[in-house]
Amino acid sequence: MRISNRSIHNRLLMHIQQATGRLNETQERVASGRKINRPSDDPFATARALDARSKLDTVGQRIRTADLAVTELSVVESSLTALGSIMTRAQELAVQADSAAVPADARAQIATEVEQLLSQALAIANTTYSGRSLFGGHQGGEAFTPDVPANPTAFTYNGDTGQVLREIGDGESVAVNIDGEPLFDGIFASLISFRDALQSNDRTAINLASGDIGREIDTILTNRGEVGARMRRLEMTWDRLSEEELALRTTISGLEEVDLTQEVVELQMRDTAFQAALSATARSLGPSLMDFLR
Amino acid sequence: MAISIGLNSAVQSLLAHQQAMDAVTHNIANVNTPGYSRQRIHLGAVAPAGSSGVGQGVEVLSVERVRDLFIDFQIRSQSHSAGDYSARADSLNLVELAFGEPSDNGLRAVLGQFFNAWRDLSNAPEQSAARSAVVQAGETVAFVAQRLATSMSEIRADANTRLEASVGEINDLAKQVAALNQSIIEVRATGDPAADLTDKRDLALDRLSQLTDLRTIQHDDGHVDVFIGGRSLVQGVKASEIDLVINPLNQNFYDVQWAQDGATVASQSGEVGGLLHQRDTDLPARMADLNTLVAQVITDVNAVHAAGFGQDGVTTGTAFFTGTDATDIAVNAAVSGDLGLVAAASAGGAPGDGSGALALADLQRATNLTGGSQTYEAYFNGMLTRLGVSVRDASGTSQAQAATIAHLDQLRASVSGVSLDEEMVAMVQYQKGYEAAAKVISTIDDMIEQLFAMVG
Repeated sequence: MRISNRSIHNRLLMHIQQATGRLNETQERVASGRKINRPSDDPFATARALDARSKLDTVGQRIRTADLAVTELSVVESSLTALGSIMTRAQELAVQADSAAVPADARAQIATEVEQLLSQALAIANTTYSGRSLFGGHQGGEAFTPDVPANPTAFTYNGDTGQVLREIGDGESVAVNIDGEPLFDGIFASLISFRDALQSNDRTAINLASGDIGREIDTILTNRGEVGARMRRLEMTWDRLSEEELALRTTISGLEEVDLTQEVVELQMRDTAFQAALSATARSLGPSLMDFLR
Repeated sequence: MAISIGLNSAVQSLLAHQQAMDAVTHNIANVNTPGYSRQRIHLGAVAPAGSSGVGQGVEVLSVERVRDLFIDFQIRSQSHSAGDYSARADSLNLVELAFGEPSDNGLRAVLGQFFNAWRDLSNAPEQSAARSAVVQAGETVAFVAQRLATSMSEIRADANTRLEASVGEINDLAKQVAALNQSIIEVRATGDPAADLTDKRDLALDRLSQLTDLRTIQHDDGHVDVFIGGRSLVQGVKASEIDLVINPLNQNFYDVQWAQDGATVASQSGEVGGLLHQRDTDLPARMADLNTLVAQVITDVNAVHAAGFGQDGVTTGTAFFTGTDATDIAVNAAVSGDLGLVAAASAGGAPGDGSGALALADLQRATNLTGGSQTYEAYFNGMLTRLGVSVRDASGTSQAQAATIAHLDQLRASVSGVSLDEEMVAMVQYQKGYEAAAKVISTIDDMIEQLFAMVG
């Protein structure tokens, strides 16, 4: 093939441009640390990476929700624990009062303490967590209101039976409340009848109330068991979500990030190729017949 | 045989070598001129006149323009598709840039954040901070979608502007070719091959073939006719004008028409074809995909939101978004003005109920697109994959075409390009020839002198 000056120049220029282009590609990858800087770098890997990113967003949100649900259930659990202590104390008082040796004025004194226990139970029934009434279902404000402030005889439930659900998976939710009405109605009723029995110095009624209190303690324990089971389920979900999060992060970095060692070696090779192209150019442009004609 | 005949042929030799040297000078002078084809002098012996049997010296037979017409044809038939795909690739690259994926700020990400904001709201329906976060996330979705829509129409407008420039260039080049045709016909009539004028015209035709898919017919008198889609752009010494006519039915973009009768110029390929394809087919289709997605989001979100209840437990039937597609999506001003209107509850009179918000967040999993088979994200990822593949194909094809053309150009340079070494050799060769001819003249002079001396 005949070689003209223009073909030499074009070819050298083309080689230098190719070498520069390839060098630039690797430099961009090393500098950004990313294999995919735009979809056309690898359209299908981009689609997978985007899918993984969306899943990661959702998983992150679910982990936050699970954390929140655990906190909310712990508040419910500690409320139930406190309620348990109140009722245990009430039962102790009932045992104490259910004796022929106890005089009427002592029973009246115990009645005062029961009155206090009742108002403590009311305070627990009206517990709120970040503005939400724990035992009021979907309703706001106080879950229970007494008919009269002192020596109340009945409590009105202002809540509803709505379950407060936290979504921890696709279509998978866990309730973070327990229905306040069935739980507290019995507790309030047993404490009120115990107090009334003490005030009227009626030992039979005291004995009856003592039985009621015992049953309410069982109910509280059942509820605690239920809450504990939900928390274990949340913990399991949380572990699974964390594993999923890790797997997704690994997938994303595998798809989007470069293997730095490999790229740096590649960069070195391409740099060498670029310098070779330059030095070949310098040599080819040098000699000409003109240098030898005198 | 007369001595003067020898003198004559020596003089002819001087002249021929001088002309050959002129060609060498011309070649060397144009070593870097784009489109220049080297010229070669063909020398021939002059046949003997009488019966002596010795020839009468040398003459210049022709000046040849060294050119391979087949390579020209090859380059032009590749150029239009290189122009086509490079125009497509340029515009698609801009679209890709506008989407900016993969990132945490693109439409996919903000849509995900929007649905997560609803999940957060379902966890705290009584908190106004959560309501405000939902509205803000909705505004971000609207902003990003509108920005994408704006970018896409800007890229379309850009294709239109570039079309204007390309068509202007076609008109200029057509006029140049017509004028050069005229000069070539005139010069060739005098017997001169019009080599330099032909080089100029070839350069113009090369550029024209990048701009549009043309066909050329070479005529014996040296002129070239140029056709686009069967109609003549250049016929002999006359160029047809191409007009850009604003079309109000197509967003005031230009229609490309023949000035003569307003018929559409059928340019399927080349930069003009590529730009038209992007402006009128490719970008509108991508825009339509984006609008389909956003319109579905608006419809679905509004339907679920309207079924829910606001904070007062009474207000229902509120739309969350206004607008119909990506160009005009916005958060309902009534909702952003009164956060209580955000419907987090699915039943009336239950302010602590977050299941309405959860139902809205569940839309993220709903397959309401592509005939009920794709979620928003799957649809968006599909759009983006198609875009990525198109960009890669267009860039790849345009690069491959450029490489083919570079190779053909290399072949052309190898045939038509000037080699300085070669010209140096020719220079020495012709110089020696000239020297020798001069020597012959001085020798003959001596001979004549001697003759005169004998007579005298």
